[in-house]
Amino acid sequence: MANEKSTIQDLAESLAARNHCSRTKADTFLRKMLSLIKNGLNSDNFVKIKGFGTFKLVTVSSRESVDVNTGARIEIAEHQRVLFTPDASLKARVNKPFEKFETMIIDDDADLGKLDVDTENDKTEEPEEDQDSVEDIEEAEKVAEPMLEAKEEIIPAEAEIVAEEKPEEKAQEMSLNDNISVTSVYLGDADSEKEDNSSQEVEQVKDVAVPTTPKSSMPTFVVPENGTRKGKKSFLIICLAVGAVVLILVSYAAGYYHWFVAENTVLAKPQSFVIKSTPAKKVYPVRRAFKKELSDSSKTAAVKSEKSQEPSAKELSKQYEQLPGGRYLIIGTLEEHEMKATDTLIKLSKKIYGSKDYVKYIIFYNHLENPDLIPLGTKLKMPKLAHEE
Amino acid sequence: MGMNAKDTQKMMNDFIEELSCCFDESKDVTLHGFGVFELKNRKERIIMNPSSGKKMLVPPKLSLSFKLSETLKNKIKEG
Repeated sequence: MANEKSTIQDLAESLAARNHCSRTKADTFLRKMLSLIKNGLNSDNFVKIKGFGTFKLVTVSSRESVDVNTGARIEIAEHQRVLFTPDASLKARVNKPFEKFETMIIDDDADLGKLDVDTENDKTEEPEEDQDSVEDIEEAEKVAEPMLEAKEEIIPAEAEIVAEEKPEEKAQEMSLNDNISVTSVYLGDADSEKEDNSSQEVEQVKDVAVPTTPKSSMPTFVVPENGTRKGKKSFLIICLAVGAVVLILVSYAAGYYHWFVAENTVLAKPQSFVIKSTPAKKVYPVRRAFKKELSDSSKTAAVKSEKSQEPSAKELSKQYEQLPGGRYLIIGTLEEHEMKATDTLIKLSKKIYGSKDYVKYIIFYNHLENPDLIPLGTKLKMPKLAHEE
Repeated sequence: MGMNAKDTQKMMNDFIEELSCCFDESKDVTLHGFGVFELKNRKERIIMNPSSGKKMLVPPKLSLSFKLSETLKNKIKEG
């Protein structure tokens, strides 16, 4: 990734500028220091520089290998190599652009078959989001007053959704794996999506604010006909006070809700509304229905039943030979792949399934007798895997 | 070199800071005769915890790698 290079000379120059000393001094300092590290490595096999890292000399025992060109077995003699482990502080600093990300657990029922469907769903993500936000506004108007309670309901519901969300994220990742080089682009997208989300959130707060004010101010117009002047005035003040308190509470809840969501996922908010309007168990069928027509609950039900009629992984798996002791069932062919010179099974497995652990399934599914020697142009079928229930 | 411990300490810290700045700008640092410090982009990946069987999504990250220069490698080989 990094193309630009700094050399000792560059370093010495900036070091000199920083330390207000001559360039030659900085240069000699650097060289002395490097030779000090070298000597330390030679004498102690171990050099630790605080705030930077540790250089360590480790002995690699001899092992057998195969000459890449001739295929003959050769022995790599015992040798020593230097390992460098950056200090925690340096590590964190280097990783600054990505520090926001955290390792997350993916739900077990996120089997690979489902992911394909979701990848398609994800492509139409943006328009969907718009539709959903339109609905949000409608909904917000309807439930302007009970909004507060509704929001509190959403938060626990949120926890469940997060679990369902993750497979989807994985789907995004999977689709990314197809065009590997887009990582950074994706990061940008994710950020912008997050921003979208937050801006939507702000919108929502406004939405909430708009409907509440008319409602709370309505009684103030009604009251004058009934009460005396004095009573009217005090009632007006009370109404305004109540309205203000409601507004504060709602915006507080919205803020809290946003804080809760932003960490996790992009689409959580629209979905939480979806779930509220139709108490569906699975998010995907509902989402799919929304794509076709907004808030058509009868269609949702239809899609749902359609989904439940699909044969289960176990039934499908009966048609195929299964890997003995495998954690996953083979339920079909995902895709075909023609082996190129640069392909390895491990690479393929990583690309398609995300881990090299799935190599055994590929080997088994294609009845490869010698997985180390696959002729060029061999067409391999990638098994479609489902989690064993 | 005629520097006291304090100066050396300061110089060293500056050196580390300078290196870090280079990494911030995603530059590689080549120390001739010693080795290369490189920034590597690790992609996100899915791992499985062997004991619990849980799948986890590991985020992409930048990591620092160090490669020993050939000359130093040979020197170490000779002992």
